[in-house]
Amino acid sequence: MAHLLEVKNLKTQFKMDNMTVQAVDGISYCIEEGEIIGLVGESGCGKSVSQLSLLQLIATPPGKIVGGEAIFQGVDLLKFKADSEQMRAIRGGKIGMIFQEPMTSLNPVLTIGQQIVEALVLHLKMDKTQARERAIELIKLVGIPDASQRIDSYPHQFSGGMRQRVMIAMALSCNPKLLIADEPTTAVDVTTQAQLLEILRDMVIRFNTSLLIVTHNLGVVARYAQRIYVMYAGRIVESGTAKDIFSNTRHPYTVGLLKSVPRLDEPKGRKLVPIDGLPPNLSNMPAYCAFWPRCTYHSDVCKERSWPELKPIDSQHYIACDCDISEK
Amino acid sequence: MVTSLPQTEDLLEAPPRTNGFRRFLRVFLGRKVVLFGAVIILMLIIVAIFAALIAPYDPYQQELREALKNPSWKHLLGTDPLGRDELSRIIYGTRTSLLVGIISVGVAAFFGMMLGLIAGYLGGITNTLIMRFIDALMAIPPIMLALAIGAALGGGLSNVMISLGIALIPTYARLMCGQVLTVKQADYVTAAEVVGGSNLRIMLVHIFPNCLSPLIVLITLNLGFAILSEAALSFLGLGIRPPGAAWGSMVNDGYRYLLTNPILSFAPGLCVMLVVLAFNIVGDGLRDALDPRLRGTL
Amino acid sequence: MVTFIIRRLIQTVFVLILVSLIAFSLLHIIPGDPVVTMLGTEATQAQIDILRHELWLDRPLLVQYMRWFTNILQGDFGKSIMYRESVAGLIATRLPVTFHLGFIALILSTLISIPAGVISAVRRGSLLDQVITVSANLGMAVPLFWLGILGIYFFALKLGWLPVQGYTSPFDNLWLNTKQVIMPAICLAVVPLASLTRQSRSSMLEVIRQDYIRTARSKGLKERAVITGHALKNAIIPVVTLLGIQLRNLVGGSVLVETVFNIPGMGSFMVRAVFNKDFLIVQGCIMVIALVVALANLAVDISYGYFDPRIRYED
Repeated sequence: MAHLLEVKNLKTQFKMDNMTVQAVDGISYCIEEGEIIGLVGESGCGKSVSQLSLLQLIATPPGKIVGGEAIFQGVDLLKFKADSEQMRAIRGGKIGMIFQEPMTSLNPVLTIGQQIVEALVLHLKMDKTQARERAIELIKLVGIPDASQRIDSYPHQFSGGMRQRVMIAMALSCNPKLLIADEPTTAVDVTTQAQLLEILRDMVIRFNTSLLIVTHNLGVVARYAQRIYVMYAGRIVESGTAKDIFSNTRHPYTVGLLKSVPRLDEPKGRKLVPIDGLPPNLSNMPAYCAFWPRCTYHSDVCKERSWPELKPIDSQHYIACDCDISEK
Repeated sequence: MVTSLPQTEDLLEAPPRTNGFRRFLRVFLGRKVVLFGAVIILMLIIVAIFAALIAPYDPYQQELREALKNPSWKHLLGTDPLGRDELSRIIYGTRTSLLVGIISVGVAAFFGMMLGLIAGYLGGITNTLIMRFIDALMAIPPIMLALAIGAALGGGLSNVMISLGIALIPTYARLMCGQVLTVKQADYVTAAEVVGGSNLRIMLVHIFPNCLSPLIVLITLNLGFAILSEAALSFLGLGIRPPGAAWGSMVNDGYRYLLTNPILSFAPGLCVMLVVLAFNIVGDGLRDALDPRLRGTL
Repeated sequence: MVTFIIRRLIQTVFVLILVSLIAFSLLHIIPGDPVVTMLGTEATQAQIDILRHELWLDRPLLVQYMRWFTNILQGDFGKSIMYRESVAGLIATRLPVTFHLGFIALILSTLISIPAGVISAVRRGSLLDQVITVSANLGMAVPLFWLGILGIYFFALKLGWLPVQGYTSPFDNLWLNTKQVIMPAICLAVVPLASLTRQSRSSMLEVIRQDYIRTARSKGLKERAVITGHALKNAIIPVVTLLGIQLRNLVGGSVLVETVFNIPGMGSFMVRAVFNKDFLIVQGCIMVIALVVALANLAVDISYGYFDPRIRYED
């Protein structure tokens, strides 16, 4: 069965001040129809950049997609030019995206109605009246009260959580097949986080849209994602079903991530164990495993080999580590 | 190379603190245009100081037989209606421009900052009064204000400097007032107030460092504006009295002879433009170098 | 929004009162006897006494001011020494001319600067951008009067395309008037044009980096729609602010342009009055100019609400 989206060996670079930062260093993943996927990693590991690369929203003077394919519904998106008609049809029409900062992601001088209608008119070719009605429906669906009044309000008249809902409505307005949520809940408080995630899940089920959640918060993906990819330093180091990742963690980085998060089923006194060290310098990567300096299971052997390839240890569980830490 | 947490030994030999000033210089002078502008300003200062040594002739020496001669090897820029060497007058004109620029901006900065400090610190009705007065000053175009004051006090260099100074006060007052208000709202000042009375000294310590960058930029840009205004005023007939050499009045003198000796009007005006351009470019360069966020908006 | 307008109106009134104080005090900072200064050294004692009495200079200061102020409110600026006519009447004939010039210059500068700044920002680093930026910098540095003289030299004296000086009413001879007005209007427009171009460029550059522009692109909009529909609407806000300040420069510039091109507007009128020590004219001019500038600024501030909805709903 063909994947909805299959990304193969995506590589994106940034050139700054004579340095080349390899932000995304050959990642491959896939999404099926109706799936909810999590993409997890710490700040700076390249997860946001990878998604922006997919939609070719990277600013091309410093940035550049230097390799890979992104096959969406059978067509390689990266073959298109960034400002081509085909790419623009995909953006918003077939693939929607919501961003991290609700406070700055909406245009302050346009009403939310105008911003939603814009996409509807563009992709679904509706006329203004139809679009407006549809927009009101959408606003209602994401749980904003008084939709027919609020449609003419400006973003600054909404709270952060509300704005995120507007973003969700906007991104889903043209019935895309895939919704990418880039850290959708990072900038809001915990209660709102929960609400937003519920809305997000309801909406994607209702619209039969696949969802890719980019986050550094494992709690988010634990509850909602069916499969999870863990990224580190621009590469995927572990991937599998949620069950695989949480019950049978195999990559030392994922282990570290899990250990540093509090869990209800553990005794209160357990210390949170942070991962030692700092993230690597992406402009100067070693040939061996980049996680080596921070890895609690590392051995000198790891340093002699190049960065391990992603290898399957189960039907859907892949890891990029040559050591078998389940024995340790 | 992977960065790691510093070990104790490393801390003992701490790397040299990134020299802020050197970095500033590198960014500031890094762009050729800015360097060019800085060179022009330097040249201006040198010519002004050493005018007596550089000028080939006495700028006040009238030689009516040599009047209105076209440029030649003897007189590189020709002579004006009274037979004075144009080039020498232009060279001496640097002094007028520079003097007016520096003093009027100095006056404006001093009084403007003071007003802003008082307005911001005392707040309330004083603030309103002072700021409305500033608004009133801003409602009158600087040239007209200078004209009016010049009319009342008479022409002459010092009056032009005073009136330009007054016209430029508003920008400094606003800058200072804004800074004071920002600092005033800082928590520690509130704490000091709770204990008893806001401490003017504490505030000043924190205000000036924040002011410094925008102040430098403002001064540089205003210098350009002041020189431009001085030229305009001396063109109109205010400013240095004859036989003093000022670029603006030289343009005016040459206006009558435009058809026969265009260089008399062209040359001094060109000087004004170059100098003002230099100040503007340097001012922009300073702003970019001092505030990384704005870099690249020149 | 309404409270905002009312507050600004009150502020404007207050500011104008302060301006009147400044204008009024003009007469009184003159070293020596203002009357003698105005009439010249040849005046007889009788003339001096008459004028002093006419101007109420023999009364207490506060009384003088009150009288002057109430007169202004009624539109009476006194009588010019030079022309022996009412100052208000003289100003009334000259104000429209300055408006005419200023209006053309304003339209010119706004219509050119905004697209220039936008293009310059969108094509940052390109040759076009560099040309525009350099031109804008030059425009900020060029002395108006010099530019006018250059223009006269090339276009009037050398090429003969345009008249050297003068102004005829557009109602009398529109074609001649147009030819006369082209150069002065362009000269007048140069500084606002340069300044507005720089501002629209820099605010456009700032806006393009914003998150909501990325959101707009992620919806699949054409780049053109992103720039005009999203970016421009935000970038124009600081430009509108600057417009208020540039109005002041326009008025100031008219002094120079009218002198160079010998145009009978407020600017040249005021200059002549200054040299003739006709202070009543000077005072009247200042008041009228300040009124015009203040009202224009008020209009700009109010229009803000149209451009920036965040202001609209603030209280």
